[in-house]
Amino acid sequence: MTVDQHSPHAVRFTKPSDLEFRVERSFDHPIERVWAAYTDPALIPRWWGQGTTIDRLDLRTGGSWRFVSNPGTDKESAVSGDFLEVSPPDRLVQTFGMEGPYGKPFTQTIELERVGDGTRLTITSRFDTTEERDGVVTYGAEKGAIGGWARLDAMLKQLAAG
Amino acid sequence: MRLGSGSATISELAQPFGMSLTGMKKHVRVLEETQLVATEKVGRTRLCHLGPRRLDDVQMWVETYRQMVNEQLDRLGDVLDRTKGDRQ
Repeated sequence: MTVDQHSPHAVRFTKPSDLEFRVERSFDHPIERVWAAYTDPALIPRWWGQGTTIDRLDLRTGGSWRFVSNPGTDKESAVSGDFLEVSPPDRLVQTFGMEGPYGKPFTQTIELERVGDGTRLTITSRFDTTEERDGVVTYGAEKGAIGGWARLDAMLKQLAAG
Repeated sequence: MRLGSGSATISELAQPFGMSLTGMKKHVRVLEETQLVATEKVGRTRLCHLGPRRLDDVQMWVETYRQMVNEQLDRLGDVLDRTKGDRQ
C-alpha cells in the first residue's frame, strides 16, 4: 500500500498467526551495533519518540524495564515489563505492558539476524487473544498520533502514495 | 470518524478539534479529492458526508500503526548512522 514498502529498509508488518503480529526491518549495520541501539538506555530515547525517558532498564534475564513517554505533560504514559531472556546480540524476550486501562502485558520476542554486512530485526508480539492483539494495534495508532488530525494526515499521505 | 454518524457542517467538524474553519476546509478538500468525503452546498453552509470511497476501519488503523512503527525504526536507523564510528 505504501511506496516505501519497496525500499530495502521498508518495514514488513505481518500477522503470522491469530495471536501475533510481526514487524521486520533491515539495517545496514552490524548486529552488535543494532543490539546496542535497541538496548542502550542512552540511545533508546533518541529513537523511541514521544520524548521518552528511561525510568528503569535492568538488562538481564529476570530484570525489568520501564519507559515514560511525554513526562510531565498531560499526555504522560508509561510502558513497562520484564526481561524473560537476554541473549546478546541476537535474542531478547520481554513482556510489554501499557500502564493504564489497556489490558494485560503481551510478550515481545526481538530477534536479530546477520544478513550480509547488515542486520535484520524481527519483533514478534504475542497475545493471549486476537482481540487483545488488534486492540493494541489500535491503541498504538492512537497513542502514536498527536491529535486526531496528525493521524488523519498520516493516513492521507499513505492514500496519496497508494 | 464523525461523519459515520451522519452529515455535518464544516464548523461542526472543526469545533471538537479546536481547528479554524479555514484549516478544516483544507482538510475536507483533501478528503474530498480522495473521495473519502463528499460535500454539497446547502444555503450558506457546506454539508459534508461520507464519500463513495470507504476504508475498512481495521485496515485504516493497521496502516496508521505501520506508519508509526516505520517512523520509529527509521529513527533507530538514523541513530545507527549517526553513532557509526563511536566507541561502543
